[in-house]
Amino acid sequence: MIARVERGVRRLLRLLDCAVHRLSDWRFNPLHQSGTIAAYLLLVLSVTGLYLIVFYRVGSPSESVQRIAADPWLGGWMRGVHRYATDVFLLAAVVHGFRVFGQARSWGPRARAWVTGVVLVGVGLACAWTGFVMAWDTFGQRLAIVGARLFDVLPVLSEPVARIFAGDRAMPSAFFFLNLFVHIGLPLLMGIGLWLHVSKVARPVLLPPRRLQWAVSAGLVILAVVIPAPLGPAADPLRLPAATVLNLSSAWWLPLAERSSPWLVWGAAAMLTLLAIAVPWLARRSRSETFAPSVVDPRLCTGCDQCTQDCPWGAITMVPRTDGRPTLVALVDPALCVSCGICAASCAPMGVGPEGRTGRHQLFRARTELLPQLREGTVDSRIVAVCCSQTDAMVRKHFGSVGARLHEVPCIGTLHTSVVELLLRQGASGVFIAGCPPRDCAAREGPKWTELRLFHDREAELQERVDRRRVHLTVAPAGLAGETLAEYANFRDAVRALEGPEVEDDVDIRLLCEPLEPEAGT
Amino acid sequence: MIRRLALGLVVALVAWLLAASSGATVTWHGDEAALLRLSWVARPERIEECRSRTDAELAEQPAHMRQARECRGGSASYRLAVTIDGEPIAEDVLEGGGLRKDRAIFVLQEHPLQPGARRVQIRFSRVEPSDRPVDSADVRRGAVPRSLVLDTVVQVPAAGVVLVSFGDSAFILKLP
Repeated sequence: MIARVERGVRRLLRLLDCAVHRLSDWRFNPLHQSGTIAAYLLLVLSVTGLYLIVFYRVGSPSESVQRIAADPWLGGWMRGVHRYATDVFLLAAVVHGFRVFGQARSWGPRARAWVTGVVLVGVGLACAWTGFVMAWDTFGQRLAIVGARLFDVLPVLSEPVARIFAGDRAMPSAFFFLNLFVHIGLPLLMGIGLWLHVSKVARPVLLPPRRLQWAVSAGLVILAVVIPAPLGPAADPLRLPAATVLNLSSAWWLPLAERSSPWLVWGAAAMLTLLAIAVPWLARRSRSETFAPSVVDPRLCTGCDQCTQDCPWGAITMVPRTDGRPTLVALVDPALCVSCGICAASCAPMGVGPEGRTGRHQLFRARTELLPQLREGTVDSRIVAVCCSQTDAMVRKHFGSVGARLHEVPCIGTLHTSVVELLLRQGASGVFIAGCPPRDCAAREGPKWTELRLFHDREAELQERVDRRRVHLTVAPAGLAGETLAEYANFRDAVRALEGPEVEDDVDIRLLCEPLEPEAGT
Repeated sequence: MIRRLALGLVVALVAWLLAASSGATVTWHGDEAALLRLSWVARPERIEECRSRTDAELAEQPAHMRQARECRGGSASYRLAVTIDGEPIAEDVLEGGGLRKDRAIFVLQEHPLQPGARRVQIRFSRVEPSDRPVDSADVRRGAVPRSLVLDTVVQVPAAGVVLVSFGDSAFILKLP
């Protein structure tokens, strides 16, 4: 059931991705960058919030916000940016959550990131709530009254909080001071939440590319100038406004809550929260086969430390050996390993990786499945298209129709360079590698490490003896199958122009990497 | 060129949708709404049975607890009845706040009204009968009078709140 929902979400996101890629550069697809955009908007909200707070007065909240809004130079659009950034933050955070859910990345070692993400969205909503109340217009009043109504059913205070808004006495400044205190305190909590959110990943990326940062900032400023953020009339407890402004992104629930019993609202909120928090447990898979954690073969491990550097989840550490050899040995923490397989391609001696997906297993598969097909045929038909199984299905489908030998891998970051070498030395005329956009890689760093390993000598590097003209690495974004296939056609033409590769009959790359024998006397 | 134009249009549409969703107008009370709001804090009278302690009882107590009179009891409860144009619209018995019901009574009620001239009658009276005069201690504590009555005709404005509160031993009527 949950897998079906994941598939549905994935399809929907793919449709949106296709639309975005057709209109703009896939490198700046905001849907791929939703998480970093949300984090960036927290910065924008902090900066604009700091400015606004200088001019905010708890003794006259409504008047001070009206003054800020009326300032045509800075105040008006600063407030607009603050308000619209809140909307985009919530939207981006929800899109990010759906993307993670759709890619089945919500469970197992990623559960903490998921749960903290849900909490961050909840705290963001609460922060928006207090922000709207700060303005003390009719919308803020409406939110405050509903909030008080919800709070008053809890057995906390004997005096109903809602009496503050009755109008029999002036609104106490203490209320607005407390509200301001919460509005400032919650973002500090969000900072801690964000740290927890990314605490289990290595090298977390918190900001989108510079160009996207500028685009988001400029877009918010232009929007705030062209359509100033709405501000209703000042709240008056003895007046009943016929209608108010309603912020749909953060207060869509307000009309429903007003018409329902407070207990029903609490119940619905608790159910939704529990459901969201339970996703990692609902979506979890068996940790065998596809999701088996990596294991280290200590006989093969040379203690080079490369897998610990490459693991996107910080799941591998180097520990002292127990077999007497002088080096350290890698150790995978199964509780942190997400079975992405990146480590399999980082290890020159092929001694680490999920069961069945280590470099040695990849070589075996290449020998048994691909090489027999490559012995004969034309140059064109001997090009192997290595494709990440997460890429657009259309791309993978079309590789077959253009005559390429399709070789699917769970992520191009798991592809050991020895496989590329083996293919090229034993019959392939070229290897065309197509992966996901870097910010959409389910294994986080697959495309980055692959490029460095193939072309920049990062271990386990593609050996110098391999002709780089026969290797091409590209990105296959959703909806751009035509472009990817055109790139493939160019590569094919370039390969055609080369002399035919010399086919070596007896290549055993594994022999180059046999385990070190323990030194005598150690 | 067409791609850029389309991109511009889509960005503009998304921005407009964002602004529209940020400032959607939604009905709250409607045009012809009016409200009678009752909001006050009333400290209830104490209902106590007191007796003098005997010397023997006092001697049993630690020195710091030797009070000559011992009182047991609780707080009075009050009936709140609201009538608009002669029609009863609410009647509740209210008790003090807190687990022991010995805290103040917090009244906060809202009743819809039709704009125009309305006769509003509000009676807030002690439920437990008492024939003894009001205790001086209750007066000191600022207890609410045993019976409070408001009977008046109010010109209720459209989209307005008629607020009834309590102060100086009497109901206070407040209009927008």
